[in-house]
Amino acid sequence: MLPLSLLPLVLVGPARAGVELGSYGRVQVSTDARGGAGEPVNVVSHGSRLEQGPYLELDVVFANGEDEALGYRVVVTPALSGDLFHYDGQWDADLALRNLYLEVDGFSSAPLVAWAGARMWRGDDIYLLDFWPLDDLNTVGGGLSYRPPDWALDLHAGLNRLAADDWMVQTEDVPLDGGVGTEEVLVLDRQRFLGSARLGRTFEGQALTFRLRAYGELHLLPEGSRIAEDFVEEALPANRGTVLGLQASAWGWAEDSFVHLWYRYATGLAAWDELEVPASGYDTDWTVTDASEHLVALAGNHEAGPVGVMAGTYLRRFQDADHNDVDVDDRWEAIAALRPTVFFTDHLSLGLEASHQWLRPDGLNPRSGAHDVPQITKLAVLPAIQPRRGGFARPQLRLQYVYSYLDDDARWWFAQDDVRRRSHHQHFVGVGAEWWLNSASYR
Amino acid sequence: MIPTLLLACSASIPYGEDPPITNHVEDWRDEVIYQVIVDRFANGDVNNDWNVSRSEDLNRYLGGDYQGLIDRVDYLSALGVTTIWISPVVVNVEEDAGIASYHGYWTQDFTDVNPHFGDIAKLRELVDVMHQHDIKVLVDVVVNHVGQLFYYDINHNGQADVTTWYGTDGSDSLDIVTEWDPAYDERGIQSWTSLGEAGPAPLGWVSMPEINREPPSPAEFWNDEWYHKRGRVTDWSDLDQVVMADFPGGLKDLATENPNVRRALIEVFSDWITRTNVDGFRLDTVKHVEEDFWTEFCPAIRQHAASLGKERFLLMGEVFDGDDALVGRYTQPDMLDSVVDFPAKYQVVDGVFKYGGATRTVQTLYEQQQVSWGQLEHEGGVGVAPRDLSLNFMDNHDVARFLFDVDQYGSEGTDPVAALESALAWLLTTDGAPVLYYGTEQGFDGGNDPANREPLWWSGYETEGELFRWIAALSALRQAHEPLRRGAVSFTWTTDHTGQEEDAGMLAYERWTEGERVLVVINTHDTKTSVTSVDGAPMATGYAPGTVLVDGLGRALTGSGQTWTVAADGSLAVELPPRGAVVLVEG
Repeated sequence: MLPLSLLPLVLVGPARAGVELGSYGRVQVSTDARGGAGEPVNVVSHGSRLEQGPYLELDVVFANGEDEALGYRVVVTPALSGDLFHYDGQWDADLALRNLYLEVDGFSSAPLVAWAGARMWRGDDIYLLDFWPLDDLNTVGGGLSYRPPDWALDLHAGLNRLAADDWMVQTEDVPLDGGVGTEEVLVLDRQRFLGSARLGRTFEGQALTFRLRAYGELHLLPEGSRIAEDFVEEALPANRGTVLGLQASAWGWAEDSFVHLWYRYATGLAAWDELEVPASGYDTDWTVTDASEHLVALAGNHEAGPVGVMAGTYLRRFQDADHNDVDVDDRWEAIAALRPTVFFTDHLSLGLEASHQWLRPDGLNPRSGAHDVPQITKLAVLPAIQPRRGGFARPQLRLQYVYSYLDDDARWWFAQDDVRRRSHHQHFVGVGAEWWLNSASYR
Repeated sequence: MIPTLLLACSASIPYGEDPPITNHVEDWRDEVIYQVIVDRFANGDVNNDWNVSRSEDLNRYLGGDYQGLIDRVDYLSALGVTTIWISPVVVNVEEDAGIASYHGYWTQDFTDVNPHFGDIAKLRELVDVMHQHDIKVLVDVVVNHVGQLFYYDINHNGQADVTTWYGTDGSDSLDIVTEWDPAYDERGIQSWTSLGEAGPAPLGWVSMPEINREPPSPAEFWNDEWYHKRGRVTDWSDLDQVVMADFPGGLKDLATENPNVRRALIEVFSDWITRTNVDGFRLDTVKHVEEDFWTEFCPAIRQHAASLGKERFLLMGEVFDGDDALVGRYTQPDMLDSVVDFPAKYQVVDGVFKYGGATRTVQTLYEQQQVSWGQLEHEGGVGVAPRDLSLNFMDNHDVARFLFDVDQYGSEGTDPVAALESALAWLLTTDGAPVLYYGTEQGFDGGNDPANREPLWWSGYETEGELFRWIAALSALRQAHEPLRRGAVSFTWTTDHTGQEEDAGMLAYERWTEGERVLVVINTHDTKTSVTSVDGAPMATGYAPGTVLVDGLGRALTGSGQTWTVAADGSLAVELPPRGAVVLVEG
């Protein structure tokens, strides 16, 4: 079977005709052993996933089956996050559509697959960190894939227009022409173009399969203007960004075993998440063109009989676009996590996870006024029940205890009165579950 | 990437630690001081533009920061600036009644840097970069008061009440009565209930993080006993109020007679020297603090600076008063090294250069200050007696700009720019050290606060303008000729004449050292060509007969300067057009 972390890349799978349901979900309740809720304790951009809150994706897939000449597959994935009603008593949840697309194949003699709609357009992840180091786009657009044997070329183009901060879209109430009152007009309307290309080559061996990938992104944001204050129009310059990346993967030597190695170099807008408006780091002309990100990452899993070992790590250098050389936003960061698991039976396992994260900003911590280099070490115990042996076997019911040690600098990374500022020692005791069941995004 | 990483792991970041203490001042009289409101000088980092007014409302933050100063250091050097005096660096209450703390005088945290301008590393970088360009840095310091951090709970209802009344004083005015800023009461602000007075009003400390109206830091300043609690000054002639009342705007007056307050203030401001390597302090609102505070504060600061190896750390103060005797009092032993010269601003700059008063005033005030200002060098001080280190200025952030006043109130025939140039000729050649207010070189003409706090970027940082070149030329002359910096002063011509007399408006003085002599001649008259001569008796000079003098200022500006030859009896009649000025140097 394919390693789990490769599965999200599979485009059209042989789908049965009709409607299929699927889901990814996780749920957990926790305590900090002091009476409060367990809190995530991280200083790097992508820390441990152990302390994540509830999240649910519900996939509904409409497909016409593999017998038809033109195969299609409609994927609809509503997703919910936030505290649960049974926890906070609030009858609400944050809802988003993570997938809403149609994918077709068989329309050409060439091995082509096309899709259009809203989609999580992703590559491989570091499971332990819930992090996609190279290709991880959320987009509304379309794509075309060409899949001759051993090769894969995926092209995609999409657009977004983030609602936050009057950066890409702004509305204003203006006097109603010929009447009394106001009407709303769009005064800022600029979309970011997201384009990506991914070329992969797979080398099948007797016991081992290798794959190499090259990846690129192009981000283009046109100029615009917004109303900064009453009667003050402010020009917003065009911005752009690029990503170049490489990935090498190998799998096949053992069940559920694989390794990925990534390198990513991003510039400008692409140094930030595509769903994020840069909060700071602008040059004096409000461009971010000079920003950059270098990232090297590694993920892997090896399973042999009753034992499995999962690993994930990355090293990242981020530099924003301003001229400040002593800038806390500019930083090195790294994390390494290792999770050995013993499978006592087909259904019972005990995992131990150790991780260490490190952050070295180029500037002073504004909270302490000192050059803090925070470090956090975590040790976790993870007894679990799952349907079979394997680190990626799901659904999984688990208990977890996570101990985090924050050094002095790490404590100062958190705001005053934050529980994580108060002590070197943080505890997270939780019970929860995670599953991926015929998921469109995870399998 | 990996080698860079290894380097990053092993190296500390620049400006992450307290800097080495270095010395850059030989004699403060050598300096050309340039006063900067940081928020208004240059925006070098848009990422700290929180709450910045995009419409450039002068009562709001506009975006200037330390990076902007660093980026524009060449502008300062081109102007001839050798010292910058920057507005307060500490964290402020963000705003009050719609007006923001861009000026920096509303302290909330004595120990941290106002994030609108940068952080401590950026401030250290600023100081270092300035030092690399031979520019010294003075930091503005406020010990008299803090920002509006508490209210007086006069009616004991646990909230800050603000009420609008119409005609409470019998006039047709709308008055705002507020527990944040009640009028002075010598007993201390009293509480009041429906049954009458109820004793001292409790102080209402608040937490309003959205505008950083938080209890003060360090926490020891969060102490009712550390404040006078008498409310806002209503009578500036009442000495008790001047010293013990809250400053307008509800700025809470510190009980600076309290030994613990003194110790704490000495500690927090000493620490800024340690942490930044700045070269001196400009001390705000000096006359609003008990005089004997300064005899304790100044020696302690000097002692701390000396303990770090910092020599000639300057303590200059603001005594906002035209009474020269009062101003001079703060320069007596163990007090300030100097003060910004408000008497000269009023009598010379305003009286003579703006409004055409007699130049005799210049000499009279100079001679008076030789007596009224401190005669002795301070122990551990800057090595110059205060009377020799008057800090002359024409305008600043608290008064209307020179050009505004002349334009609004000057005589009909006054050319404001010509008047300003003549005043600058005096400012940069008279005794002491000149203090230029940013924007003067760009012809800014704002009226009183906030109109006089224009963003400098409105000028485009032009360096070829007439005023910029005029100041740059005078600064260069000052650097080139030691007498203009350290020389003694001999007045060779002053007059009571301001009308159509032969010498009306003429002012001349020599600055001399053992080896060199410079003669400055200025015609302050608006419309009349005048000469340093009356009834055939020309000005006597200290030059040898036959000495040829050339106008160094004209030479610097145009490439050639007019020459004069000293007569056989050592006299010299210098005739100048209205508002003309020459700086005569030998050869």
